[in-house]
Amino acid sequence: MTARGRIAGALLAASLGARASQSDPAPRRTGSVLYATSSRLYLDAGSREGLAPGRIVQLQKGTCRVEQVSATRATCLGSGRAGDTFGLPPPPQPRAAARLAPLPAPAVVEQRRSILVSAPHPKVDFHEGSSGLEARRGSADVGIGHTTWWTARVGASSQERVDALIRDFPLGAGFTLDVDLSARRWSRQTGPISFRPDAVTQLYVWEASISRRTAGGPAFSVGRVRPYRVPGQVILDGAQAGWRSEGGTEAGIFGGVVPDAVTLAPSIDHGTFGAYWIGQRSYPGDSSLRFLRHEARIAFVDTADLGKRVQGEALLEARITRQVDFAFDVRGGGNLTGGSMNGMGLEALRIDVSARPLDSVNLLGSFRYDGLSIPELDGPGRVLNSGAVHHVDFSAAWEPMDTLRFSVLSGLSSDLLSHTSRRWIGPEIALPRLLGDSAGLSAGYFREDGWAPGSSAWLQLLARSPGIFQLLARFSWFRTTGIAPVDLDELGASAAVQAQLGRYLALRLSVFGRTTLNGQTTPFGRATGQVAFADLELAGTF
Amino acid sequence: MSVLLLLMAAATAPGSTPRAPPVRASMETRCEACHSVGSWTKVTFDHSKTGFPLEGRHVSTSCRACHGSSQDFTEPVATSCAACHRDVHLGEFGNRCSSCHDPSSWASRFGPDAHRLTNFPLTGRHAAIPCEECHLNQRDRRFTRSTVDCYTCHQADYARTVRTAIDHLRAGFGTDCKSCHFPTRFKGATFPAHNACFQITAGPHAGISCLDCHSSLASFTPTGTCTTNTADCMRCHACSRETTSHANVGGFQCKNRKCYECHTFTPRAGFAPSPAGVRR
Repeated sequence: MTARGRIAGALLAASLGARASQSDPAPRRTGSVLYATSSRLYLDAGSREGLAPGRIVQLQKGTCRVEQVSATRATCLGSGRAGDTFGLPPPPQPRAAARLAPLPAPAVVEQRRSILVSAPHPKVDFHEGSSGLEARRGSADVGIGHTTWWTARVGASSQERVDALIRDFPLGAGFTLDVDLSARRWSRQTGPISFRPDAVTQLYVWEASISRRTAGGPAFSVGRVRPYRVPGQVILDGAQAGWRSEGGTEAGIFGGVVPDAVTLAPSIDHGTFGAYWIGQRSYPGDSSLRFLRHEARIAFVDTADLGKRVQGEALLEARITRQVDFAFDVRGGGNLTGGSMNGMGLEALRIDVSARPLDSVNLLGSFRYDGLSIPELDGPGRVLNSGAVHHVDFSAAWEPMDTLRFSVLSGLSSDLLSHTSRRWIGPEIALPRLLGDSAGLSAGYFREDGWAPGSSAWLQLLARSPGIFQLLARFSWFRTTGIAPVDLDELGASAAVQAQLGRYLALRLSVFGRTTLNGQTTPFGRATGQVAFADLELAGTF
Repeated sequence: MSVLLLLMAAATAPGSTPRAPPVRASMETRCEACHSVGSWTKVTFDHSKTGFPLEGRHVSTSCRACHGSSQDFTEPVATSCAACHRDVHLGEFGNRCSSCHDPSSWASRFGPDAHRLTNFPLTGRHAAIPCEECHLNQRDRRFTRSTVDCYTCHQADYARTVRTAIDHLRAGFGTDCKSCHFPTRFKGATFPAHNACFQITAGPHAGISCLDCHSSLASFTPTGTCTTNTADCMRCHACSRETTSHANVGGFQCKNRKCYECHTFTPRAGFAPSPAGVRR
């Protein structure tokens, strides 16, 4: 070796030694939480610090289980706050240095280099797909199902059905097809059937329309249309046409005749036309207002039942910071008689608020009023009532840890026409991760008051293997007063199973049974009874 | 030569100039964070880190179905259900889809148990009938406004009694079905008013049916005087036996009306023969 070579070797050894000392600092003893959600923590340490999936990390308050790990970061399931620290495991013992194979001769290295340099490696050009093609790919859900309803000493009634739901199926040139229908057939009827008793075969078509809806251009649908995001507008045989901006804001008009409410057959008894407005916008994560959606409709409605009317509806939905979601929907209208409007009134009002003041606390409340200035079918007698209903509910949930949740649920539902109402309130305790991701358990109790007071309790099990199998089993007990000559005690059980049979097919089975416990003998026979229900569906998603 | 090469290159180039990759300067450039060497189009991304974990059907949904045609997937997207899903219920239930629907399937999970949190708890047979039996409106898929009044749904059953049981209309029975009937089945009703004339909810006559005693129900009309003229005691209480057992009862006659003069079986009088009528 020449002197120059020795100098170069010494410099190389020195630089490697210096680099080695720089890349081998004192091992960290603690890590910290960078970010925290209600159930997941994001840690500033990873596999380099000895973390591995499944490892339990001891935080200042509580523990969490490491979920996913990268070299320098990890997520763990548990509760905590950003800034919490935790101890890191001792660094793994360094392995004994393996003796490397001797370097090949310079001639061999040069030969390999020349082979690599001369090897062909054509570059790959990036070709972007058609803009938005994936978004308009569409989807189709098709299902065939069988349902049986059974009552002791009465018998069973069975129905088969075929459901099809096609969304945004591309027809070319930007046109898409939407279909939503259900065909049903009674294969067995035992006991009286009140709903369309003479129609053994029934077909319901909710949507069969062709649309073209692109940003920054015209947007329209024609056929049996479910008007796109026109608040409160029922389906119609007609058209919707408007203009859509690049940002998604849309305005336009719609009009047509409204199908029969029971059979969905085309009808000229009910017609409508009007105008609509749709707006929706998301805001950056650092702004107080995160999301805003606003929709409005003004329409002229002519029905055989209620005559000529003018209706208006507005919807506002907002997300404020990460903590509050708010939705407000109001509908009003009045009769048109002699060219003037009268009888103006509030027809519907809905307010929904959800808040998460703390990551572990969730509050939900809603109020809804339906004033029913629209035709309503009230029972098989087709009695048209002009009363009103309102419904209020409130729930609060506290999750002190990932595996435990306490809730209180309450509500009030009133029929302002018959002056009947019911209230309920009760606790629920849940262990949503009793067996990790595989199973959860919950139990609850309700105390009920009103025209049919009573109480109920339940125990529910949810077992699942994500994407493959899911079982929901529930056992319930009910006591109801005022709905029979004596208090009625009932015991029920239900199960819903969903099994994924492959990428496209799923099998769903729902069974339900209930029996009356207090088998009191009445003057004219036993007042006990058992009822059951079973539904089996083979569903395909494409 | 250079000019020739340029011309050859132009002749063999694709018809359109390759566009630049859709990557903005501010965007992530660590391709391996999402892409793999297996395929550029098989993108994997841990969406749970965004605060909106993909569950159920959302897992297999294309990215652009939610993010639109924007190339910047870091732009905020609304997380409420209504931002992507059309509300077929016309807003009746607000934006709380998860109360009934599950990300794994849009099939409703709402069942008879959940109906208890409404103004009409589903008891007895009501728990196992199709929803359409009460909620007739198929067009709007709305569920409010079904009546809680028994008679509104059971008018036909009330009218049917003219040929199946006591003619309720002629008998002047009210339409509050639940005062006599159980929700499990119509047959097997109670008749609280009957006890005032003749106790049938307890005592030796408990559990018997109408036609065990009454020769006819079609002409039944409650008069409030405990006389229907259709009660047939002799059907069970044979005259031959009762005449013998009542040999010492003065004024005994084997007639239905006479039985009731002594044996009222009302809660007030008890089950024993009324003292005034016993002359043993």
